[in-house]
Amino acid sequence: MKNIFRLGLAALLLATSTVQAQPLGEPAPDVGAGKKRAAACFACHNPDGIAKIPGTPHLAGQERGYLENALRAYRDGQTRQNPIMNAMAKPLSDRDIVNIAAYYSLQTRMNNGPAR
Amino acid sequence: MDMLGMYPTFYVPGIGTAWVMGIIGVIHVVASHTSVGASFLFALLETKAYREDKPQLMDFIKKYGMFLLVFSYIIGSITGPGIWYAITVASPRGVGGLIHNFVWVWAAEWVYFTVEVIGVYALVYLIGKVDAKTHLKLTWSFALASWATMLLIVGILSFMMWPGNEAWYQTGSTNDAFYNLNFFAHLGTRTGSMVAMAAVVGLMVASRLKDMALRRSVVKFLAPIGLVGGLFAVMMFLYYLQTLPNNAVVMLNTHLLPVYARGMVAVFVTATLYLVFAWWKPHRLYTSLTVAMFAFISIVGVWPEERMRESMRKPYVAGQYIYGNQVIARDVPGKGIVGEVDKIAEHGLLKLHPFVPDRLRVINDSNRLEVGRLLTKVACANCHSLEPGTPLRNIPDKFHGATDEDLIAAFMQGPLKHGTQPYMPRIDLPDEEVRAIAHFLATVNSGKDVDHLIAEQQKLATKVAAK
Amino acid sequence: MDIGTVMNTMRDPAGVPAHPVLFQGLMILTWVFHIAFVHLTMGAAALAIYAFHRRDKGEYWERLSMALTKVAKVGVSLLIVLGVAPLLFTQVIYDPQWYASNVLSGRWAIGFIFTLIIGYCCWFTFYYANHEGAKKHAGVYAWIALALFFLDGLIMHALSYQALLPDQWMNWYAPGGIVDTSGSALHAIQWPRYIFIMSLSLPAVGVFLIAYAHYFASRADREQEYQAFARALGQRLATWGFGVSLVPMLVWQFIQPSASGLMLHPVGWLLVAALAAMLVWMKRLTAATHGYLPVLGGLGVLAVLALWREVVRVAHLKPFGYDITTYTVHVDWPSTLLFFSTFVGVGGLVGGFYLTLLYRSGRVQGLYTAERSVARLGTAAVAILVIWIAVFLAYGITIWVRNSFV
Repeated sequence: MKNIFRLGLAALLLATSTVQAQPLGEPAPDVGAGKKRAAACFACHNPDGIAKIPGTPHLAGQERGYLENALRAYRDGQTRQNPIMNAMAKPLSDRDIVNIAAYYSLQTRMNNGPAR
Repeated sequence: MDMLGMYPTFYVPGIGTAWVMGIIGVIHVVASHTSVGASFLFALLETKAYREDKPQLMDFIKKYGMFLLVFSYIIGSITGPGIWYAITVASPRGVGGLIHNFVWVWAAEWVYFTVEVIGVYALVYLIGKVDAKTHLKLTWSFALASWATMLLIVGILSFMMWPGNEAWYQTGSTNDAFYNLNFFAHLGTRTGSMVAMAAVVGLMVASRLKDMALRRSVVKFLAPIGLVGGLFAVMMFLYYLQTLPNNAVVMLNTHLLPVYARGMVAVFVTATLYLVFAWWKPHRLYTSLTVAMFAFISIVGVWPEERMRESMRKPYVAGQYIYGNQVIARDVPGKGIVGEVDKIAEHGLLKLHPFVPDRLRVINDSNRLEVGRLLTKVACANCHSLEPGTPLRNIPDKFHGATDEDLIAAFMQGPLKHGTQPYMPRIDLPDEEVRAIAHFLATVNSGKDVDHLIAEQQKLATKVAAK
Repeated sequence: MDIGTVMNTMRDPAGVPAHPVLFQGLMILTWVFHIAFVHLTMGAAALAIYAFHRRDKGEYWERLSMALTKVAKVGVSLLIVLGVAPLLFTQVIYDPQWYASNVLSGRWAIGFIFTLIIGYCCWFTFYYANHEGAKKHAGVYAWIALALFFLDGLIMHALSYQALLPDQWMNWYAPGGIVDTSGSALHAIQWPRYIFIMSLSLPAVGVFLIAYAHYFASRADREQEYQAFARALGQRLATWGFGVSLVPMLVWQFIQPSASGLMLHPVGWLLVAALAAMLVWMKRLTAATHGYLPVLGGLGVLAVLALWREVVRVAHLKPFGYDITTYTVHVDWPSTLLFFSTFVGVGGLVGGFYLTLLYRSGRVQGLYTAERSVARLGTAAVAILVIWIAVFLAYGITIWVRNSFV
């Protein structure tokens, strides 16, 4: 229940924020599609973006642009080389990257993250 | 020709072989801790009866000995080998590894078992038939022998977690495997729990005593012993947590403690309160409540303990050198053991596994799904059930229902290939096999009836072959 | 893939910690005692049920039923624990065969444990119920228990027999190339072998009764007539039993695969001869013969059977190129020493103390006061355990400190 509410809130936020953030001509990110595509990412980063495995970054509330850039760099494998993320980003399309980045960027970090 | 010494796979849908083992393990731990606990309890009571000349206590031992000692001992001795059977069909190479490292230790334990089975009947049948002092020797030797069997099994169990240092890998010596880093912590935890359990069993017996003065003296004697045992167990458990490898700590923090911590604390608090209460008001001790207490400890306490012990050592089944999926994870120069992960990466499971039907050794469009299912069973099903919603960390849920083949494959070619998930084995497979598994998992996740689809494909294939 | 090569690859890569033949010898030896208690338990349970239903034919039957119920109860516990050793040693040298066979019938291997627990609980219930004037329906528990015990025997038989047929494994695992991971079938049963081994329960309880009668002969409080009844019944059962068991034995002998040469193998025929000799001896047995000798004779027969079983196994596996003597050996002296010293020290002193105490006290009417030698044995038993534990811990701490902290 709580999650649905949060998602709804996120969508609302998105709708308002995209107005300024979205470059002209590009369609708004589809958070639902991002979530679906990101299912395999959850194994490490979790659906709520709070990672539990040491050494794995939390993605909840991470800057959208940064996430997009990081995923693109991982996909190209030139500037950012990491055997895990290069493999994970390889099948992603530009659209996927936008959607996934949107999905994670809209999460809040307050919930049950372990104290570090 | 290159091959791996792998066995056929036995798969139990939904709960996997792991839960089968867990269920047998719980029966075993409850039964054997009861009997080992009861043996010390009876030894203490008998010493009291002997010193203070209270033969009524002996009647008690006689009355409850057959059930508490003999029955639980025998159930323990069936389920002990029962655990062997369960790990045999779940992890033949895992149990083989343990057997070949510890055969003489187990053989020594067997000597104790044989002696004890004779002793358990002697103890119960000879009450009142041999002189008190001789019987006391019998009871104490039985209790000591019972503890010795615990000493012998704990070294093997704690090696399953890990040796804790490089010694065994280099020497291959049973010494170095057995007296591993967490041996004493583990031994302390079990010994403490055994004492606490014995006290609760003792309260069950004492609650039947009609003579209130005698009951009070027995309870006042047992309750503090049980409290000290329980406290000792907890302290040793906290120490035990400090002796664990990194993969176990991660598993503990991420998956196990969130589920089990409350239950374990509840067991400790309730048991402590109950023992204190009994100590304070022995005449208020009721059998039904004590039995319920015992059942509570058994179920809420032992099940998590057994599940945690099994889960924490993942991805390994034994000594951090055999993975749950039966692949040798690393070299053990002391025994001439060579890791197999790289070999599998190069040739693939389909080529190396002796138990793959020839028609599935080469992947094509008409058998990809079927090969995917077989490979998933071989590579994953030891720890994960394949059916959505089932209790053994089922893969569909672990993938959060991912239906994108390419991303499932990406996960296998990234984290799994490089072994970066602390509690997952390094599974490095050729592209073809990765895609077959990803295809299978995506199909399962999309909610299709895979078994039906595969059966259809098989039918079609035989038709084509017939033509 | 060639299944012979496969089996050799399936061997545990750690190798074995002593010469394989040592494990083979221990396996054969410990199996003799395991199967002896299997036979005694099955025979005693069956006869206890028979006697239970004949209670109205005379009080001896009732008494016999109660006594044998207790024998079977103790027997089950001993057969289980004595089965652990051969199970352990088999896994050391025949791990590929044993594990493959178990995995292929996984549900039965697990079912074995649960049916054994249920069977044992049923027998325990019967044991509590079987007293003077017990209700007839108590017998139901005994029947269920016996049926489950026979089923468990069948499962063990099938698991052992499947292990001898490696060229069938792939057909069982993937019939027609379609893999079946359910482990839901017993794939191979050799009925004559199973029936033969089970049939030995009959003579086993026979020779046991002869010894039983002898044991209580020294007790003045036990009726002579009852003992005579037990002995006569025992002799009849032993005679008939050895005779009956010859039939499935001969059938088993003649269905051995012709290429194996087992049909004419001397050990098989030695077993036939041993059974026949026991038959003749039991038929002619007189009161002059010591009551324990037939039991010894029976154990002799079982020793030949244990050996024969191993000969059969070797003959089945040899054509595939499986030979235990080629198993890699990494000798591990400390743990070898641990076993043998425990065997001698704990087995000898503690086990010896218990057995002596049971034996002596049972032959005395009323309270038994330990003689000096027995009292000393008792003290030694406690002492050896204290020493064993102390050495075990001290030795362990040394290694633990050296490996983990220094």
